[in-house]
Amino acid sequence: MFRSYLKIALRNLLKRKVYSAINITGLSLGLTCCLLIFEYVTFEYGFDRFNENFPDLYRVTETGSRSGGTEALEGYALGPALDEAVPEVVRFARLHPDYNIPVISSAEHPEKVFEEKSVYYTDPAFLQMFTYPLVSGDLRTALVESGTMLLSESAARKYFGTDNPIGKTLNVTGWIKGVFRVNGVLRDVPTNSHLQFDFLLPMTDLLQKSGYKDPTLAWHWSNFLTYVQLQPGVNIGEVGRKFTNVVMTHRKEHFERTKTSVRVNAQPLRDVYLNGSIFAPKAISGSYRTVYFFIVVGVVTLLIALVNYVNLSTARSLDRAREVGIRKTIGAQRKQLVLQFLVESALTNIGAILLALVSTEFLRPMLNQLAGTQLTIDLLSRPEFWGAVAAISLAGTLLAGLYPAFVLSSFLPASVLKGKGGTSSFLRIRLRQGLVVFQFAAAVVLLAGTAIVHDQLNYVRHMDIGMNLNRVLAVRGPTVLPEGAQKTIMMGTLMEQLRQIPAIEQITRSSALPGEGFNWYSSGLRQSTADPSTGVRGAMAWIDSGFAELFDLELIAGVGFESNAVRGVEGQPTPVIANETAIRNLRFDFPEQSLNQLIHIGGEQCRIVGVYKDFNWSSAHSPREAVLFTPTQAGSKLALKVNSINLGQTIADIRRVYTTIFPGNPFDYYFVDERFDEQYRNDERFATLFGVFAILTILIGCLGLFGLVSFSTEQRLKEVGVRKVLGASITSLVGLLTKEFVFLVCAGNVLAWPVTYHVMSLWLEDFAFRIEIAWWVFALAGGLTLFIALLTVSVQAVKAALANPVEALRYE
Amino acid sequence: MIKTMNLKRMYATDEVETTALNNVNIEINEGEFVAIMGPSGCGKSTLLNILGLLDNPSDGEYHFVGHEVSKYTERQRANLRKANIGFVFQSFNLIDELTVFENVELPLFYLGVASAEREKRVNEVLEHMGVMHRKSHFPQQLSGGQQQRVAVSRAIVAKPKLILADEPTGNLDSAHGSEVMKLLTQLNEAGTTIVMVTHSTHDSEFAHRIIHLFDGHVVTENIKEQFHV
Repeated sequence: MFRSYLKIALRNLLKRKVYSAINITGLSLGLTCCLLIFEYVTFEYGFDRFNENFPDLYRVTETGSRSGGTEALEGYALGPALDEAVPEVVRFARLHPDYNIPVISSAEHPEKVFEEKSVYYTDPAFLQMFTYPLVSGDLRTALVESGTMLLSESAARKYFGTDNPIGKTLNVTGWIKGVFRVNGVLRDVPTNSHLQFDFLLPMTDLLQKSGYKDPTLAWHWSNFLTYVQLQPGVNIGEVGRKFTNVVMTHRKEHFERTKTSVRVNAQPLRDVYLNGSIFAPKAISGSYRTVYFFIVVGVVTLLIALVNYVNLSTARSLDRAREVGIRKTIGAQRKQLVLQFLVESALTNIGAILLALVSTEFLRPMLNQLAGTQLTIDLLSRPEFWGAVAAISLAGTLLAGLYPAFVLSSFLPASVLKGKGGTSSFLRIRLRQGLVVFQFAAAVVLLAGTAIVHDQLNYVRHMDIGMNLNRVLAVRGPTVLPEGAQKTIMMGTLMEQLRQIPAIEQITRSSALPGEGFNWYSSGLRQSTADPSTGVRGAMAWIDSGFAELFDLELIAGVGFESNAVRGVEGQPTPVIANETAIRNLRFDFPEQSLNQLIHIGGEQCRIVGVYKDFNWSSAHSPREAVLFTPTQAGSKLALKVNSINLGQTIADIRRVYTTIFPGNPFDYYFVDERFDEQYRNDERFATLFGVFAILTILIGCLGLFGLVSFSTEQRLKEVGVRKVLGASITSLVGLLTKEFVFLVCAGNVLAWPVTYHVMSLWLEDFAFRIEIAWWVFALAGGLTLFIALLTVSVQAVKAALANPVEALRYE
Repeated sequence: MIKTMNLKRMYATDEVETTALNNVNIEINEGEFVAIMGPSGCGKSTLLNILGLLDNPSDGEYHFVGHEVSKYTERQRANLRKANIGFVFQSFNLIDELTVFENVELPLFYLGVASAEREKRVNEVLEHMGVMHRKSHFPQQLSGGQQQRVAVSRAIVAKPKLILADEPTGNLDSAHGSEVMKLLTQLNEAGTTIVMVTHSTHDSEFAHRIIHLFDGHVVTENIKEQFHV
């Protein structure tokens, strides 16, 4: 029986080629989106799952009572204290990124000098907790012995080629300095690991650093990430309470003094990557919001494609009604007919999914490029992928097939055989219209959304950030210095020599540059006379006298550091220039009021000497921060205002001077405005993907519309013929055939606008600086969908209207 | 075999109620060949649909092979129909996507007859009807006469007690029409009851009895010859 269903389904598909092509193409487009999104979502959710202890691994985080923000950075004393006091802790490992960009060089091959961005110091237990396997070396000795290191296979190849790296040494100049012997090689860290590193150095070596030897800083110097492995099945809430108690007990005096408290949590590893809101340096993070967004888009796209199937099947019910009538007359039961139509739906779905699997393979590289993902996992070999494929096909078959199957099988043979049945009932037409409205509403939401995203990005790229970053080239100071050399003096020499290059118009040195955040934050910024518990968050940066001029910072009160009057004097409060936000947060009423006032930040007393107009140091996502600048000649970052003529030569000149003064240091530069714009890279990818999905949904919707119009004009051929005989013009006939669809698309628009407004307002909330959603966005999306839909509909309508009326009448 | 008592069929739209059949009382015995005649719109096809269990009457009783079926559900009617009634239509109503063999096989398929048995019976019928050489063709590849032979083959393959023919020669030229009428006569002679709706006086000549309908009423019944059970 089944074979017979299959046979007739296949013959039906082949007989109505255009219809089948519309159905299969539309569905496969929807399925392709769905599969790509499934891969992306699997990739995002799959982060860190390669770890064998995945369910039992946690990162320790801390939520402060004052800021309400959660951070993953802790003091180095936390891990051992938790291990000792909380029985649920099986083991712990602290991780400390090298906050500098260390320079690593090979003694054997002096030409192999590289800046390395992924260096961590950690405890030996790290490798027992996490699954980062050694390809050579011994797990028992790895990270135990001082002066040893582990490196990734890629790093080993980079420094030692094909030689065996075990026993060889590398010079490391970074947060700490020393010669390290390789005693193990790690398999390269998988792309779906939130920790990315090429070098692991023993925690014991780091703790020798002078700053970490001071036991009073054991809890306060929060530069460490702490991971714990808990016993399986423990109550996380309970563990969190115990963690909190440990911290509150150890830091009792601090919390009492500042009248604050803290809540300590064990954050499951599965949450670490996707919960990008918890700050941790150098860890890569995703976003729940983006993942959810794409899940919704995937489901909606698939639904739009399924709607095509439902609409086309029920629209051409007249076609099938006779067959149903005959079958029923001969004795077919309804369930047999339902099954028959489901087999047809299944066949269409299988055809579509095969096509989708092929297109997914082709489109994956494009998605990787657009979304910045690295979907390289061979999903085809994974059972859950095939499970999803089967589930999507089954859901597609049922969603698309059930309704038409029931509609078609419900025809009464007596009427359909007389040519009376099979026409669409009022309800069925309304449902079909409703589904078209839904399709176009979804398309309009995506289209208007794309326009809003682009508008916002255009706005943030061109907004006045209160600084001028044009033609500013940044060069980092050296990491490796000869024994006994003084960095400040050598940097001064470098600046002197760079000034000789005619293309360099200005030079400044500072501890931080726009677009890169600050190195130093404190949550204790307050007026000296204020209660210590009222401190707010503030950043501090060290700049020289040329900084404000080079970046066009506007001084609105007091004096700048160019003035000789401003000098830091030992024993006196540090002179600082604050920005407007800092002045407001310090609760001064206006800038001038703050001049010469004493303030506290991070235990240090400062005196405000000037106020800069507000500026955006970071992307428009973050609100403006309170910033204090202090004068220094010791900043390690250089910013050079360069003439854009013959830039290549200028950069070559800078490189020559730099490498002459700082041999052994790789020369690296970038343009500050480009780096600043890089902060929007994720938003740009998001915008691109948004646009791609908008185009796809419109395409799928139009395919369906095309099919629907074909059938409806076919059904109205006689009417068109009669009208033509009676003298109707082509225009009026085209109007007659298109007005229903135009109305549906308009209805879709009306439905989509409030949804778009709401959803996109939520998206915009992610930006501290954002546009007002403009009316033209809706007009544009509406006009565009209407135009495309009209084009689709008109082709068929014009064809029907131009046909010879005799032909049309003969059809009947 | 068939007995209707005060059979009524009304069609109602929002504003108009049309009576298609009004107090129709007929009786048809097994082995009879009955023609139903009348002008367009007199209710011939409505009657045939009810007799064929494709539709229910609005009122009255309908006894078919001993069952009172006027209140049967679609499912009950379908079960009774597929085992007892074969249909022949004016427009043949073959399924275009199925071959001749598959079209004829369909009733047996829905009766749940095993595959080997189906093949045997279909081949027998096709042989008998002289369309065996066309068994792998699709309906569109056949002449009208051949299509109607296939339709007749399909109607009789399940060996029904009753064949209902709705203008069986309406779409055929006279030569093919006569052929089909001969076939029906042969079937009737072999014991199958035949009820045929027709406009054609020529065709009605083949029947034992003619029932004339006018505006939903039975107006006359002509018994052409004495019918012997």
